[in-house]
Amino acid sequence: MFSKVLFGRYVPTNSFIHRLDPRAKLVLSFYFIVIIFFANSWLAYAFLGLFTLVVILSTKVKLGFFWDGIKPLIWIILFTVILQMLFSNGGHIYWHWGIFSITQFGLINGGYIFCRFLLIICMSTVLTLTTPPLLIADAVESLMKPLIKIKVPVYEIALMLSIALRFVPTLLDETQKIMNAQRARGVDFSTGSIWKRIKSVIPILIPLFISAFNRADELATAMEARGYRGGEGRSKFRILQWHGKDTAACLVMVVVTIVLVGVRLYS
Amino acid sequence: MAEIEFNQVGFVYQPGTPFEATALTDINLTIESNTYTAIVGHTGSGKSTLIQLLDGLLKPTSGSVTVGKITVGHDSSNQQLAKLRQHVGIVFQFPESQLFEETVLKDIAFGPKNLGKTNEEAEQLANQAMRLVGLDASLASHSPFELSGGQMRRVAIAGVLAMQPQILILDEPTAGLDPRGQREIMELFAQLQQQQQLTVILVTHQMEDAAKYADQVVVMNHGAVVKTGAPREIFIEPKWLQANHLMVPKTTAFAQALQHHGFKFDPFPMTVAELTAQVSQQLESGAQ
Repeated sequence: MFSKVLFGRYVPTNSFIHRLDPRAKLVLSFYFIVIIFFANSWLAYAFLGLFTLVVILSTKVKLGFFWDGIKPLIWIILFTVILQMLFSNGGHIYWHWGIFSITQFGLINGGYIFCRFLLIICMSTVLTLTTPPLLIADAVESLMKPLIKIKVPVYEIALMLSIALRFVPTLLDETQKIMNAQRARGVDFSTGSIWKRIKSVIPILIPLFISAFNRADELATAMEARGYRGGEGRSKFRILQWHGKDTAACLVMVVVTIVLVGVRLYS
Repeated sequence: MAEIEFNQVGFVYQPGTPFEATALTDINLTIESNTYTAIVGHTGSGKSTLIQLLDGLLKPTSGSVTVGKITVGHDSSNQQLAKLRQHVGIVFQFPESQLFEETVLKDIAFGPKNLGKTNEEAEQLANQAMRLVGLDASLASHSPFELSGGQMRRVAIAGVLAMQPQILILDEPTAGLDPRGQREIMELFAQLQQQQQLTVILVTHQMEDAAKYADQVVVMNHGAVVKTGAPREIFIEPKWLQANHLMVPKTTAFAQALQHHGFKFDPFPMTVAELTAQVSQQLESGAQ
C-alpha cells in the first residue's frame, strides 16, 4: 500500500531542472507558490499554468507521477472548491436554497482555488521529484544559516531533518513488515466497523514506536562512537555550488513576476 | 495428499509503474503434508515473496497457489486470503519486533483471539504454547519488553504456535541468536514437526540446518526454482551450489575433503552424526 506514497520519492532523469542548485529550487518553488496568490484573472492563471506545464515537461519525468501527486488530495480540493462555491456571495445568483447559493463570484472563486491547488501541488511535486531528500535538507540548512545570529539551532534542525528524511523509507518498510506480521496473526485491517479498524492500528503503532526508540538509541550511540560532538566546527562533504544556470532560473522567475504584475495592472 | 501446490506462479511488485520489479517467475512446486522443506537461495532470490504468497499476504499476479482445499489466484478476494491465513502460521525474520501487548500471555493469546477463540480458550492455548517453546510460566505476567532478546523471540514464536497452524513457515527463525539459542530453536521446530504432524517450511541461509532437518530442499535463484530434491541430492555437488551462490554445508565439505584422501561414503553423510559414524567405522575396519 505504501508503494503509492509519493513523498520523498526522487526520480532521476538528469534534466536541466534536476541539475539546478537545490537552494535555488527550494526558494523558487516557495516564491512561485507565493506569487500564485497574486494572480486574479483567468489570463494570469492561464499564464501561470502554461509556465508550470513548461517546467513539468522540462523535468522529463513521466506525467503520471504528477497525477499520482494530485490524486490523494483530490477530495480536499473538491471539498474546498465546493464550499467556496456554495458560500460566496456577489454577482449574478444562479441558484439558492437557505444559506446556500451558487453565484457568479462563487463560481469564479471556486475556479481560482482549483487552479491554485493544482499549481501548488504540481510545483511542489516538481521540487520533490527532481531533488534527492538529502539535498533538500542541505538546502534548508544553507538557507537558514543567517538565523544562527538569532540563536536558532540551525545545525540541529538540519541534522534532524536529514535523519528524518533518511528514515522515512526505512520506517515505511518497517511498518509494512509489522503489518504483515500482524496480518499473519489474524489481524484484519480492511474489514469491520470504524472502531474495530482504529483498534487494529494499535498492534502496528506500538511495535513501530518501540523500534523507532531502539533505532534512535542505536543511531545516537553509533554517532557518538564516530566522534560526533554537535554541529559546531564540522566540515561538509556535500558542498552546494551556485552556477550560472541557477541565476538564470531566478531571472526566469523575475520575468514571470513582471508578466504577472503586468497582467494584474492592465486587465 | 499434496498440501501445498504452486501452479505456474508469477509475482510482480508494483506492476504498471516505473518501479515494476519481477520477483517470481513460473514457480511450480509441490510440498507434501507433514514434511520439512527448506528453501535456500541467496539474498534477493525471491524466498520471502514466495512465503508471503503462501500465507495470503500477497496475491500471485499469475498462476495459482493451492493450500489444502483453498486456491488463491490473482482475482481472489481478501476473505479467501484470510481463510488461507488460518491454516498457515508464519514466523518472520526478527519476530520479536511484532510484540505489542502489556503482558507476555496477552501477546501470545492475541493470535488465537483474532481467530475467534474466547478469552479462556486463547489463554489456555497461550499457556500451552509457552510451555512448548520453553518459557517459564512465571514470565506470563511480565511485559514482553522486559525480556531478553532470546526470550522475546520465543514469545513471538509462541504467539504463532498458539494459533495451532497446520503449516508453519519460518523465515530465518534463528538469525541473530547465539549458537545455543539457534540450536534450541531449531530442535524445537524439528520436534514440533514430528509430534504435531506439522508441515514446516524453513527459509534459511544456514545450509547445515537445511541438510540436518529438511526432507526436501528447494533452491531458488533469480525468482525461479532451480532445483528441488532431498538434501543428499542437492548438497552433493559443491560446484553447482557455488554457481548458484550457495554455501556447501561444513559436514559435506569435510566429507568431500576426506573422500579425496581415500575415504568412501555411502550414503553421503549430511549430518555430523552420520559423518562420525561412517568415519569411525572406516577407521576401525582400516586398523584391522
